[in-house]
Amino acid sequence: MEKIKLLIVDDEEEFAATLAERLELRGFISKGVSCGNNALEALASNFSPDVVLLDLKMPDMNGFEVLIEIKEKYPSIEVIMLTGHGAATGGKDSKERGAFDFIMKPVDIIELTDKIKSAYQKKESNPGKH
Amino acid sequence: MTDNNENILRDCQLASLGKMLAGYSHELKNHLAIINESAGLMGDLLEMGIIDDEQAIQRFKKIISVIEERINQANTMAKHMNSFAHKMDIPDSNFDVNQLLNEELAFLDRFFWIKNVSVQKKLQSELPAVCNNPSLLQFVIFTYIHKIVAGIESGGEIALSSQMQGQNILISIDAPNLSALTIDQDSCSPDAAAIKYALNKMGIAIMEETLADGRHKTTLTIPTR
Repeated sequence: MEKIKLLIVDDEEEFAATLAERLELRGFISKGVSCGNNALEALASNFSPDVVLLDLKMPDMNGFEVLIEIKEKYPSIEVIMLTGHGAATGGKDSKERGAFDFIMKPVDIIELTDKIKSAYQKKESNPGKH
Repeated sequence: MTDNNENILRDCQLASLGKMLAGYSHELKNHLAIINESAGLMGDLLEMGIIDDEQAIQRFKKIISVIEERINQANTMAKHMNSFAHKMDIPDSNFDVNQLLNEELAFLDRFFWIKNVSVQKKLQSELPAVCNNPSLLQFVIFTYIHKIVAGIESGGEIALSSQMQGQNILISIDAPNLSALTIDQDSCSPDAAAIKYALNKMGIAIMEETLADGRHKTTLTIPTR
């Protein structure tokens, strides 16, 4: 099976870097960026991820704005939202805006990897999308 | 003082509390998420047997330092929350104005960061203790600055200072062209009404002035006895 490529977007750089390293150890190809604009730049470059892990609260563009732009420009990429909020409302709103799913911080790595694999399967089952 | 005013004050104070705790708990979760990932990574490396050389040991030391740093930050935040909670216990008590202002800035830090607002702080050292209602004063200052931050242009600057003058302590908030009391363009704003009512209840005078450079300065005069 081809390695799943991930883009992790979180303004807490240590979080993004550490999570990327943990996912690399589990066989994923991961790249971390610290804001929405950097994420869109990464997507416009040669790095084309299968799944984006996207923080909801960020200072430049919030997660919803980035999510909407990703789904408009790259509809085949699946997005999993990361939220630090106790309530699940942010996650529910994300799904209504096109996110595959959401996960609460602190992250359960097994739950996260399961969701990434499910998101990748969904992407692969929709080959018509570009 | 009417029952209606008391209700407005109570509602605004609770709303302010909610905002403080929402921003703060979010930050705490961020720190905990990083602790969680760092600890998880250590576990991963141990489980995968990747600790048999000096390079790996150095990597572990780095990870541990991240964990320690974040735990310290979480502890400081928890200390502020605890101090805040205790101010609610006793309405009137002796307190240190500068400590209250420093806590206030910690509570507001995330709001400053989101709007890229810089804060200049100039607190006179060794101010005498004040006997008043610290919880109510904290509410007033938080609500006032929070409203300014909400209305300020991204990248703006706020200056906060304290100083002794006669038998009073003066707290000054200097912001670009903004008064929290009129920011809503609505003289019936519940926040503005609550601030005025709370200041009156504490015997604290408020003076607002426009400086020569167009910035807005608000000064609170707190009697020390």
